[in-house]
Amino acid sequence: MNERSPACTPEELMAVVISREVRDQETVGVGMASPVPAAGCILAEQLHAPHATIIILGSEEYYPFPGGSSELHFLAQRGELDLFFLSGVQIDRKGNINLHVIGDYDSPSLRLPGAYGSAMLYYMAHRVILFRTEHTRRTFVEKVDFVTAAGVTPPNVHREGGPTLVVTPKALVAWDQGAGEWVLSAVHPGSSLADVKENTGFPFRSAEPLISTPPPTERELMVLRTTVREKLRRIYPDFADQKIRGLLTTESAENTEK
Amino acid sequence: MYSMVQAGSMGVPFVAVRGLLGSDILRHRGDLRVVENPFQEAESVVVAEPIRPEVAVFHARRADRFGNSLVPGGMRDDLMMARAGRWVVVTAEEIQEKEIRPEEAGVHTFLPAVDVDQVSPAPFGAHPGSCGLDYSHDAAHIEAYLAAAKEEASFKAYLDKYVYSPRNHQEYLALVGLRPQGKGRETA
Repeated sequence: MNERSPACTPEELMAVVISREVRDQETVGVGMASPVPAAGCILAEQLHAPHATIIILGSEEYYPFPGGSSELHFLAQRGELDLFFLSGVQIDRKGNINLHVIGDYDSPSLRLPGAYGSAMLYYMAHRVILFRTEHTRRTFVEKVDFVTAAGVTPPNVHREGGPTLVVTPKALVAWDQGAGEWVLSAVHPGSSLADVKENTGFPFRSAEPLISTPPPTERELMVLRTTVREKLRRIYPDFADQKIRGLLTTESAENTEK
Repeated sequence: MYSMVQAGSMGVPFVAVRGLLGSDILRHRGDLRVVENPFQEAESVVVAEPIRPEVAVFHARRADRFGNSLVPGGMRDDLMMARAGRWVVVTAEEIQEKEIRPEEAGVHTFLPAVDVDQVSPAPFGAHPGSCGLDYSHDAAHIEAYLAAAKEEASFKAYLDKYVYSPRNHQEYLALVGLRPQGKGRETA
């Protein structure tokens, strides 16, 4: 798409896209098994959000509490968490996410770990960015097999926030709270509107105008591949080594995987 | 979940939790109910039954003969869980004569004897997991377990070999190639 932009891995691209959504001064939480948002938050801290309070489960450096992981849980329940990241094995048209089962609940084809706090965090974090490293029809479905956390709730339920964005390797999709639907807001380099339509299991509106995601800048990639990679290695060593390129091994990060 | 364990540790009859409304979780869990918030008109809220496990088990780096224990990591949620548990068992790398004081906790979580019902020496008792600075996790064993857990037959074979066959902890350690130093008992 943009020949002058340096090539990067899908995970690097997603981390950069996520970093641009993190604001200075805010309180941001990253849950377990979330290396891409962790990379994005640390990158944001290095670039434009030096005063953000970043809380990463599984990290010592980014864990400003005396106690265990219940600290983040209860901070969010108090309504003090500005931004959190969740994923979903399925994400549907109505903003529901599924982290429980694929198929029928009583005889599922796949049993997943479950909510682990997400059924509270999805409601109580002020903004939730969903991330998914695959953009396919099996992920983006008309209706989830099991609603772990709902995109929309009736007015008699106290809710601080909810879904705001989905970040995938192909696109940035925004949640339109008023209309209760997803709106494609930007397509990443290497993908296209047709590609996103082809790989999304429900019809969606596109933003006018639909923009092309600005490719990662030299500076974003440089910081991601140096400082952020080093810090991330203390939390997610395999991910940092395999998905974020080192400056000295620029040939191909993917090739080092096997 | 945290709230339910915390409520268990506090001895209260139920706890109100945020979120969950609209989730299918409510259809499958009898211990979660929707009620009207008595302090806020026209607000629905979920209340949950406390969790009080019959038995809670922890593995400590050190314990004393009274039950005071030092569990790896400063993740003090363990203390909450110990208080929620009705019967608390601590296995420990070593059990010492000298009393362990709360001030010794450092990077550990201190479980006070008042919350612990039983201690047992079990060197390498966290295997194939890790135990603080004493030893790291056994990656090869965990990978073998993950592979075995994929199919019913191989899972059963794993259980037969590592769980049901060893008659005691010593035999388990011999089976996985670990040799405990001493008897796991030491006077500090």
